[in-house]
Amino acid sequence: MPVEDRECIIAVLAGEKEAFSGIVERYRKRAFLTAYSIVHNEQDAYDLSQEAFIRAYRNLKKFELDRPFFPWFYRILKNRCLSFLRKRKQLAEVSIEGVFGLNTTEIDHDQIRLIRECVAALPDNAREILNLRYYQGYSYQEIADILEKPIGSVMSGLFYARKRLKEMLQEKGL
Amino acid sequence: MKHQEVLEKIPLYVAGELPSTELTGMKEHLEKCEACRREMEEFKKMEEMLEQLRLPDPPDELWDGYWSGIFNRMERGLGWMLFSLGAIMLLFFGFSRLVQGMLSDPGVPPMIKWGILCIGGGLAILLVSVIREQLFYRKIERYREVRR
Repeated sequence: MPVEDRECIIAVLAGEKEAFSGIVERYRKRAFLTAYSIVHNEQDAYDLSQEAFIRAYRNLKKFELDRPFFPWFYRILKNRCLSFLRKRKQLAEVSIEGVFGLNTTEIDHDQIRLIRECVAALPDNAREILNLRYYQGYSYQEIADILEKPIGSVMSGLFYARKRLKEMLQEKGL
Repeated sequence: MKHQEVLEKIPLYVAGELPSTELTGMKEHLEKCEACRREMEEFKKMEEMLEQLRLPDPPDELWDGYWSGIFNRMERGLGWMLFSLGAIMLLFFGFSRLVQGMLSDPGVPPMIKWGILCIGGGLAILLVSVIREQLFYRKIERYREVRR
């Protein structure tokens, strides 16, 4: 775990609430993008990422200081997002319009929508790895760290996910 | 390096993340295996397509008030907990006094007394059932109803 994270967490546990801002500042972008890649809505992603930080703060005593912070936080955030979707009984509509000011005129909306629909139809583990890799641009090693899996498992998971995705895209004529 | 292993590690190789100790074995296999070379070309094409999915960086304005929103809610947590606890205690006290008063009042017809007892009993059963469901639900698969 980075020294800064450790220092922040120790300070928070000692009663300095404001020290948690260091953690929030460092991980807010990753948190927001993770939530966005699951719920596909800017406002919901904003709220859910904030809620996840609050939950992490309230459960900080359970956090093991010798482990990295983000994989632990990622599980809290993912569970919060999935719980949110479960209450809505559906996965969010796959949409690319209005993605926080993205200039979408240069890209093929239909193609992206089709790819996202196929990604959304993949099994959980496969979808999660593809989300981390392509929506958020993590390296394979970072994905292995976040999911706390050996890189070999990530690569074999990714291999079969891409194989299935390729078949699905071919069926749709891409 | 074995064929299947090479196939699985093509993404690492293309991304430049393959450990240097495995590079030679990878290159040697690719040189002699046409199927793997073809797979790598297809992988690169798919990679280009999937790269379009990348989410852009959120604008800086998004973070205005982000931390203060979290901090305020962190502080309010204890306040809400105490408020809820107090409200539940007062409601319970008020309801029990109301029921007690009506049951001991000889002017209230027995039918109404039985009705009040049934409502109270029903509420208690519902409360226990909801609490038990919530506690049990946390232990089992939480997301099986999520539509994929």
